[in-house]
Amino acid sequence: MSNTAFLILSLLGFILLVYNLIILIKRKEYESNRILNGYNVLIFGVFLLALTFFIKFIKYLIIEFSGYFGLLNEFLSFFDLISNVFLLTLFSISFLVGVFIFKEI
Amino acid sequence: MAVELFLSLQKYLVSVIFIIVAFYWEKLKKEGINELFRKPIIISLILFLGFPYIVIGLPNLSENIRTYIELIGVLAISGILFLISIRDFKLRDNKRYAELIELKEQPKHPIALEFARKIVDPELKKLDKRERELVKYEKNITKQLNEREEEIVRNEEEQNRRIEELKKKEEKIELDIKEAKKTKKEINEDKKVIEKEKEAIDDNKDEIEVEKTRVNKLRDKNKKILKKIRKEKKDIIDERKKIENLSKELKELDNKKNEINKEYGKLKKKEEKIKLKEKNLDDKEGKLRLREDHVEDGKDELAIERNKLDKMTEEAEKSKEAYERKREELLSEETKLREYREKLKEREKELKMRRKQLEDDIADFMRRKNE
Repeated sequence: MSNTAFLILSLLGFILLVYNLIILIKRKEYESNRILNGYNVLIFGVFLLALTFFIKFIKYLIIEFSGYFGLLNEFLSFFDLISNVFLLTLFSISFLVGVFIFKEI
Repeated sequence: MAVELFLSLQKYLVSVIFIIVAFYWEKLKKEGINELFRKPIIISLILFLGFPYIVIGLPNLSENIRTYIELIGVLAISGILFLISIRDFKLRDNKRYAELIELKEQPKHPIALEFARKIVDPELKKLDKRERELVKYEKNITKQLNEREEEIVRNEEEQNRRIEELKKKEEKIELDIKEAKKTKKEINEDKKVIEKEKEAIDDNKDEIEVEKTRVNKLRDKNKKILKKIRKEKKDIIDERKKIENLSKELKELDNKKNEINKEYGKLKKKEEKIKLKEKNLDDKEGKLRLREDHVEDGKDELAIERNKLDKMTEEAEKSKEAYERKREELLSEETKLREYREKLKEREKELKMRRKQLEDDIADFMRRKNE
């Protein structure tokens, strides 16, 4: 039951994050050129978060329909490794970098 | 080993980084960085996306609750961010659009390029799109027209083929008509031959009628014979029934005979008993005569015994007479039975004779029929 909820929540989160990315990129032109570098880094962070959510969605999808994706069960730990270790860490670092860039202005 | 250590520390590392980010952002806000942004809340919300990962870093939380916090937190924050950013974007976009529309009447304005990019370019794109659609539509229509023309050409070709086929069929029909006329002539000739044969057959008809009358006569004869056979068959069946009745009567007579014989046996036994009693009486008479001289007192008893004997003899005589009568009756019945048997034998002989005669008649009839 909880796996289905995770699946739905991760899918909704991924869709919302993608829409956010589109809007943030569109409204970039209304921001001043001085903050654009930091802003771009933050957008990159949001992109990494969206990617994390997409991988989570794939993971929960494989768990939910393990009968159909039986062969992919072995790669679940690999998905966890990618999403939690690399992408989330990168996401946090990109935010940190973004804030540092804002400080330099 | 290093990866495993990193994995265990990763959550805490991420939460620590986000805490640093949060503090740094607060510090920057106090320094007045907000003035650089058009909408600082959007940047704050983007950075706030890291908040669920700070909560996840807390100890004593189950894995399920951590994932719920992560997913729901990010979903909620991104939802708020989406609403605020889209609202802000639309407001700014509409404002800019209104400003650029005002430049329509001032082509030498320094923002003309932007005007062209913002106002004219989308219109041009729309027109290009419309042009492409029209070209596509034209192509489709030309394609359809070409296809229809091809279809018309094909139909014409098919019609020509059909016309040629019909001509060929017409020629064939004409040939068939000629052949039919020939066959008609042949049929008329055959008819004439048949009429001649008919006449010949009419001549033979008289002979056939004579033969027919003969055949009819034979049929009548056969019918009469058949009637006779049926009558004889009926007679045979009646006689069979009579014979069966007679045989039943014979059996009854045999039964009666047996009964009479039994009675005769019984009467014989009675007669023997009576004879034995007579003998005993004779013996007793002799003894009594011998004793008469010696015993005068026993005269009365003797007289009584004599009376009894007289009665017994009378009874014996009566039974004898009845026996003789019954014997005579049996003898007469025996003679009757013999007569019956003789009659039956005679009838059997007659029936056998009649059967032979019938079989001969049937054989003659079959021979005649075959002839």
